[in-house]
Amino acid sequence: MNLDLPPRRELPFEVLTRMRARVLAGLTEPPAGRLVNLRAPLAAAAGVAVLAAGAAIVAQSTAGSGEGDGVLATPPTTSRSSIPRRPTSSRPPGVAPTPLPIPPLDQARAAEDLDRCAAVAAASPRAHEFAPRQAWQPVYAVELNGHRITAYREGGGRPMFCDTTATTATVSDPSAEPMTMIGRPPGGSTVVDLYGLYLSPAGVLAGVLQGAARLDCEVGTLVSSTGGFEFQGRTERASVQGIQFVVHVGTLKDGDEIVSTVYDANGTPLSSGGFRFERARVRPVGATAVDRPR
Amino acid sequence: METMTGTSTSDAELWRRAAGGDHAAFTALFERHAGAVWNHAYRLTGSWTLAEDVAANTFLAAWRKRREVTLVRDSALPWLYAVAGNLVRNEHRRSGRFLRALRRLPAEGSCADHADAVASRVDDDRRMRSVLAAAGALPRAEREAFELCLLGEVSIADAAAVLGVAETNVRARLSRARARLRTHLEEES
Repeated sequence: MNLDLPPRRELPFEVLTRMRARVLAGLTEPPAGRLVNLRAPLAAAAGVAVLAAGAAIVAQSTAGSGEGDGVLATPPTTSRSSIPRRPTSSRPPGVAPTPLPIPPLDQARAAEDLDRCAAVAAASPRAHEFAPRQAWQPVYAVELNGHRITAYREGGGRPMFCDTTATTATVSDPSAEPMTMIGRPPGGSTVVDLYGLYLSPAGVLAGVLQGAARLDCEVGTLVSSTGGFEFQGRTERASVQGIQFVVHVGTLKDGDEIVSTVYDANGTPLSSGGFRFERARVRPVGATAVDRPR
Repeated sequence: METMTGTSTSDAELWRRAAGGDHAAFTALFERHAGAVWNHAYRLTGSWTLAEDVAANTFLAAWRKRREVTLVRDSALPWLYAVAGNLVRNEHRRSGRFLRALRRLPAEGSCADHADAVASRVDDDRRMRSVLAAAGALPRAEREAFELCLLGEVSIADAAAVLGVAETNVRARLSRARARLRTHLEEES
C-alpha cells in the first residue's frame, strides 16, 4: 500500500532556532508534574514573535558568501525565546544602538556609481534580468572599508545594491532568493521582516528591513558549554534607510553566527534571530567586474 | 566538550552522558536529530506548526526521561519517534483540544512567496491529515507500529526493540494496520 506521504523537508533555520531555544531553556527547568503540555506551545505558535530586550538568541545555519561574491542562499531564523548568553559587545544588554548616521545622498556620486554597476550588469550574461538604468533610483549610500554601497530601487520598487571600489563594480542579484534573518513564525503573523539580498566577499551584508528602524548584528561564534551556549563575537551596526539596510559583517568563516536584533525608532528591541554562515551555500551576485583596472 | 556539529560520538554515548546531566551531550543529540523528529512530528499531526511544538516537547520529554531509558539500538531516533507518538496520542486521548487546535490552524506556508509552494503544502497537509484520520481508528498496538515503521520508516528490528515485542509481532501489527488503512482510504476516496 502506498500512503503517498508528503516528502520530508529540511528543517528551516527559524524553526530550529525556536525549537532549540525551548529545549535548551527546558534543560534547566525543574521537572513538570506532567511530561508535556501541548497547549502552551500551541498558543505560542499562534503568537507574534517579540523578544525581550537583550535576550540572547541563537540561530542556526544558513547561507553564506561564496567564492568571490555572494548572495545569501537559504535559511533564516527567528527567535521568540531566549538562551542565556554572555554579551561580548561594549554595549550593555538591552541598550539599543544609536542609529548609524547616514550622510545626505550625493546625487552625482550615486549616479556615477550606479552607472558603473549598470554597465557591469549590462555586460553580464544576466543583463536581461536587470531593469534599465533609467529605472534605478538611489536611496542612500554608505562607505565601508573602501567599498561604497549604494542602495537603490529598481522600477517597480525592487530593492537592489551597487557595490563599488576603486577598481570594481558589483551589483546584487535581481533574482536573489531572500535569506530571511528574522521572519514570520509558521502560522503566525509578524512584526518584523529582515532578510539579506547581498553578501560580498569583503563582508558587506545588505538587504531589507521592514517593521523596524534599527538593526544591530552580532557576528561571532557559538560555543557550547555545560550550561548551554555562549555567543562570543562583536557587534556591528547597520545603516538603515527606507526599507534597506547595509552592514559590514566582516570576513566570515564557516560556522560564524550572525545574530540580528532589530529595534523600533525609540530603541525598543522588537525581535531577534540569526543564522550560521556556510560558505558553500552562497549564491553568486548579480554581476561583478573589474571595470576600472589600474 | 561536544560541539553542535559534532557527529563522531555515537548516540548511545551522547545519551549516556546526557543521562548524567551533560547538557552539551543532549544538545548534540538535539542538533543531530531535530530535523528528523520535526519531520516525523509533521507526519503524526499533519501540521508543521504543531510539528514544531511536538518536536520540541519530544526532546524535553526525552531529557526528563533520560535516566530511565537506555538506548538498545545505535540510533536514538526510534525512541524519539516513539516519544513523539506517545505525546500526540496522549494529547489526542486526553481531550479533543488537540484536534480542535489542528483545525483552527491557518493554512501553513502562507508566509511563503510562491503560490505553487503554498498550494503544494496545503495539498500535503490535506493528504497527511487524511492518512492520520484513517490511522486514528487503528487499535493502539497497530497504530504504534504504523507510526514507527510506515510514517517514521524505522526498521522492523528497531521498532520491535523500542516497543519491546518480537519482530514477528511488529510484522503482524503492520499487516493488520495496512489492511485497515487500505479499506478506510479506499472508502474515503
